[in-house]
Amino acid sequence: MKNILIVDDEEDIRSLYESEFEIEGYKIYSVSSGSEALDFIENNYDLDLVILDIKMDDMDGLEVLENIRTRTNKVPVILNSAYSTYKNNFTSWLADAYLVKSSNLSELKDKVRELLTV
Amino acid sequence: MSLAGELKRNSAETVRPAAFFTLDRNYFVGNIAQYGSLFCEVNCIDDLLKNDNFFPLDNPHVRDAIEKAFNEIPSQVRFKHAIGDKTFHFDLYCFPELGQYNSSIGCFLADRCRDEETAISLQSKIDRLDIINQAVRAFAETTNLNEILRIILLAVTSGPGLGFNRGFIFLSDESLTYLHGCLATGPSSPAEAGEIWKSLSEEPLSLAEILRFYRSGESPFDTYVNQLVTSLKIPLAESSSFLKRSYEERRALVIDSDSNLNEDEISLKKKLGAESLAVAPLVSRDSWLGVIIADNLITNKPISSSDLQLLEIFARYASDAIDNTHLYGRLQRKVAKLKKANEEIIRTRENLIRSEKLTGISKMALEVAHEIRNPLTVIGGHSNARLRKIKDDPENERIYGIISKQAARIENTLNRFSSIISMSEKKDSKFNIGDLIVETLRTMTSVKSEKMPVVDIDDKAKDGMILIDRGLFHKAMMVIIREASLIAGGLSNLRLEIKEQHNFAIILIRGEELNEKFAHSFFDAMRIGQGELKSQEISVALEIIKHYGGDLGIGSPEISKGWLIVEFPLIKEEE
Repeated sequence: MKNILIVDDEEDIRSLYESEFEIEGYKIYSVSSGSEALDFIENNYDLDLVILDIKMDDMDGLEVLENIRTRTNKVPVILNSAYSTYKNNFTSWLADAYLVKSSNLSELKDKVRELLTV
Repeated sequence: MSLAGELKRNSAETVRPAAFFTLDRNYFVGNIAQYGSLFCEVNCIDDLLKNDNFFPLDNPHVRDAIEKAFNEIPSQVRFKHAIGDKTFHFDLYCFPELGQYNSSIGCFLADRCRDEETAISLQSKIDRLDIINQAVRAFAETTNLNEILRIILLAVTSGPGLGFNRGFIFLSDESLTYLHGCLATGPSSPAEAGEIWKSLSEEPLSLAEILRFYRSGESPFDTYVNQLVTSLKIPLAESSSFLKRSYEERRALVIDSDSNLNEDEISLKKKLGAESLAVAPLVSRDSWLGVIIADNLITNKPISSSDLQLLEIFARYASDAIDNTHLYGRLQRKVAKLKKANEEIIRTRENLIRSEKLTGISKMALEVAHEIRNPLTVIGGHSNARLRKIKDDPENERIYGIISKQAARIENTLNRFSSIISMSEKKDSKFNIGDLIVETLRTMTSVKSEKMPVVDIDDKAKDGMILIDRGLFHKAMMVIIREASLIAGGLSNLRLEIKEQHNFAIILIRGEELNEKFAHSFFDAMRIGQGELKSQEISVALEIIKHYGGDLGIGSPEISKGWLIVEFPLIKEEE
């Protein structure tokens, strides 16, 4: 079973993604801030993918992404934001995908499947 | 010199030669007393006065003055009288002698020859000053260099002006490498000269009138001399050139058969065709503007030192006039630049105000969009999940269906809204198209640690500038290049060419598999639009390109190979 970490400060979003991806057969972990995410990654070597929000209170997702990339290039990261404008920020190119949040989760699910298959 | 000698010298220079004498009824002269040394160029006045022909008694004014004195009325007369081949000028004062009524009168005769010479010389100087004065007035009426040059030549060659037969103007280039023949005036042959001078004598004009009437039009008679002068280009490196000597010595020179000339100078003189040339430098405060050359090819009149002196003085005023046109031109260009800069500042300030307002609105709108999108994702997401789970409950299925559909609808509106917001934040500037493309590729390759594709920029496109927002350009081109690289199997498999065509910068993105099939899927994605993120990105890229007057297309001469074409309008230099 593949392990996915969901990083989002919105509890309802975390809850939705947890239920939707568990149905898909993944083991889901979720945290509500960037610092929690980095702690989690530090202590869990068997993580397979991260779904990362950008706009969060303590540390934004791009900063978290940079931190992740200094540690490992092996874990795919999907930036998942309500903003499309962060695509202009070149740091976002460090991510494997950038998807704007949508009520239709099929694109996100497809991308997760694609990245985990590779 | 002794005091006596000094007094004598002063006396000789200042005392007007004069004679006192008596005259009787028979006009016999007696009791002569002479003042001053030379009287009418003779040392002894006695012989002159006793000459029967001396008094012009046929002159009624002289006779009348003498008769009045005989009648005890003092009188005075000014007259001139020819003796031999010379004309002398006199003042005669006649007065009655005490006790000699009607038999003898006293006369005082003053020699005015020197006064007259002074007056003639003074008049000549005034006339010369007037030539300069008329020309300076004409110079002041125009700032057009061609008119100034024509005024110079008219003043040099017209009868009421300096009176030379022909005039030529040579001007130096900015780097002082050459003197270029610019303009000339004057007849090409005696026959033509006769024709010109005849027509001028039929209706004589003053110098002021000549300068006013002829300064703006080219004379039909000047074709030959103008062809001649414009064919001449004289290198200034010639150290011994008389033109350069005239400049270095800052004075006018006469070049004639006595002048020691080198081969180039002889050749120039031969081309101009006259035996004697007057050359005057045109010099501004700090540089050599050129020369005026004048000659008397038709009349062969020798060039006198006073002709030369006047030409030199005139050339100084002409230099100022030419220099003023240069300064005026530079001033005008600077004023135009300042005006343009001022307009740019006003425009920039307006744009800044507008941009600040838009930025504020955009930020607010982004926050609103974010606040809407998150709950929408939750609502729509749960609704979609619930829809999948509901079985045999058509009423709930219908309601969740409506919620999902409306959530999707609001999301589409937000997507369009977001792309408009990012467009409203743009800050347009001038950028070199090649630099922008290389910058885009460098960013893409550094982030993805890939090799740079080949970029070939055509010579004509190297300086091509476009007006665009740098961020939006990158955004649009990154999407297009990324799509092309996905098909071609990586950025390094692409080749980009930038060309210039009809004032457009054409960017060709070449690579394997960029074929017709790719083109269809690429453009289908744009048409389908709102659904997938990839399609939205391509649509926004096209929207950006079109916003800046550009376009996106595909060309494929072969089935397997093709290229994407992106074009942007180039801005012209003055924009």
